[in-house]
Amino acid sequence: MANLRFEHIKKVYPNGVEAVVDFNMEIYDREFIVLVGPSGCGKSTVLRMVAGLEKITAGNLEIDGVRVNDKPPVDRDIAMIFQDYALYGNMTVYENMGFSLTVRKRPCDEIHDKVIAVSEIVKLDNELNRLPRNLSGGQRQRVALGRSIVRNAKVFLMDEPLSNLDAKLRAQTRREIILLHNRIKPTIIYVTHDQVEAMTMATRIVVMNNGVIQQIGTPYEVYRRPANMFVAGFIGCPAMNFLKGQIVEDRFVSGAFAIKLTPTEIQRVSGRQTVIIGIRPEHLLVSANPDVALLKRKISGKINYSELLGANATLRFCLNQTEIVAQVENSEYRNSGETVDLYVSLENVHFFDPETEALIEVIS
Amino acid sequence: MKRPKRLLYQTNKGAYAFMFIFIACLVAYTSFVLKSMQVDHMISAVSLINIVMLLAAFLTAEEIKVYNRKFQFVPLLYAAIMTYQLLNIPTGVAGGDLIIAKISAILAVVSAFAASGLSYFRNRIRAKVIAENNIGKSQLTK
Ligand SMILES: Nc1ncnc2c1ncn2[C@@H]1O[C@H](COP(=O)(O)OP(=O)(O)OP(=O)(O)O)[C@@H](O)[C@H]1O
Ligand SMILES: [Mg+2]
Repeated sequence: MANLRFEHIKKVYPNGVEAVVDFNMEIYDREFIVLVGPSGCGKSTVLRMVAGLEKITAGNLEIDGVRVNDKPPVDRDIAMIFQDYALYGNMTVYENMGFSLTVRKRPCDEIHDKVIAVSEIVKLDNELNRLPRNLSGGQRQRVALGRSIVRNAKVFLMDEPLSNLDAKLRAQTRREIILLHNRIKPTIIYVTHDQVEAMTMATRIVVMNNGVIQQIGTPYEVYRRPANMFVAGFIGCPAMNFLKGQIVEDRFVSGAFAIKLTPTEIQRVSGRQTVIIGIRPEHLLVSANPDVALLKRKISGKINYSELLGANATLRFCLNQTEIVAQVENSEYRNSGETVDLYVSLENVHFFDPETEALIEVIS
Repeated sequence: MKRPKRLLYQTNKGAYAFMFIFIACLVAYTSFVLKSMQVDHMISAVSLINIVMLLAAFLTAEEIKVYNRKFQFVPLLYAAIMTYQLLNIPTGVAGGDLIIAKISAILAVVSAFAASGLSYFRNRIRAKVIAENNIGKSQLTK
């Protein structure tokens, strides 16, 4: 169990690709950190640097206060779980889990005790004699997990460990990893580009883009107060709607579309002329008899594409050449071609600076 | 044994190791006897018996490793053959070669006994664990 400290970590690959630009962060004991970001943004690179599989170009990486930049992987006490699990195919589950102790020549009884205890944690006590090829994907994943627990590593690194499981198994394994984290509280750094995983598992999320940290925060913070337009557009599904427009007195105007701002919103955008408004699809509301305040925040359009997703439905329509997505309950589902009247929620609207793309916050 | 249940998951490394000592001694015995024995029709008998026994001993080692009870006394057969060979070393083998042949034959007999004994005791404990804990076949197969 460990603290990690990244100080101005930078990674430039030999071919000149600058994969991680300036990574600063402190990870505390027992945290579950999830790195998210689009493909190629440097998530795996960060993980591989922590594991020692990749040399750090500049900066300091400390584990428990000790600089580990030049320590070889074996001395870092870190367990990495790969996407394809990397189990030994010719060894049973028991042998796979005990392997790290076997190579250290620990006594047979000790190996046995540890492996049995861990197999109960990862619920594999009935499959100990099986070979990996005779296990399901989720079970293999648990073998890999168990192997790291037996090792008693300080930090667990997981690089998209659930990406080749089917949806149901993924949900189940996700739950198991969360329960496991609750039970033994290791420090985990987890890479994914699945938002659901990020939101449900993390104690803190790190959103990255092009090798730069965009925001670090709890899942709630990242969703409620995205630091900039990138985070706002990346977290949340479907993605947030953005509209560029002007502030005219107490209204936000964008072409033919205008909404009346609430007092807190006015306070937030005071002194600005052009802003970008961000509205999440789930904050476009359907209302049979809207009150006065909502009536002045009407947004309507002719649906050009709609999807029924089960509990929810998404409606898409164009407004000033920008596609707007709304997420509504399934009872509000409309076919394409129909017109829909929606209201912009009175809270939950974000404003961004058009130049810096940063969130405009209330200065208090 | 402190943790008899580990026999359900760990291989019989001890007996396996003794079988390999047996094989090594057998190789030493065979090569030193063949090196200096008188060339007659016995030479083919000695080489054939020992080559076949080498192969058989290796297969037995693999079975013993995974606690196959049918093989637990097979090493005793090898011990018997080695005892016979020890008492009937072919003519012509003498001096240092004779001493080495004798020592390796004795070692081979001892390790075959050890392999068989260890195999027998562990199989017994293991069978007891399986019966006591009602462990099904599905938990033991790969
Ligand atoms: N060994 C390498 N040599 C050169 N460039 C590399 C190497 N590995 C990765 N890169 C580059 O570094 C950048 C970051 O790669 P990285 O693997 O960290 O992305 P990622 O965030 O894990 O993406 P994904 O979500 O697709 O796994 C990419 O532009 C990639 O092309
Ligand atoms: Mg990656």
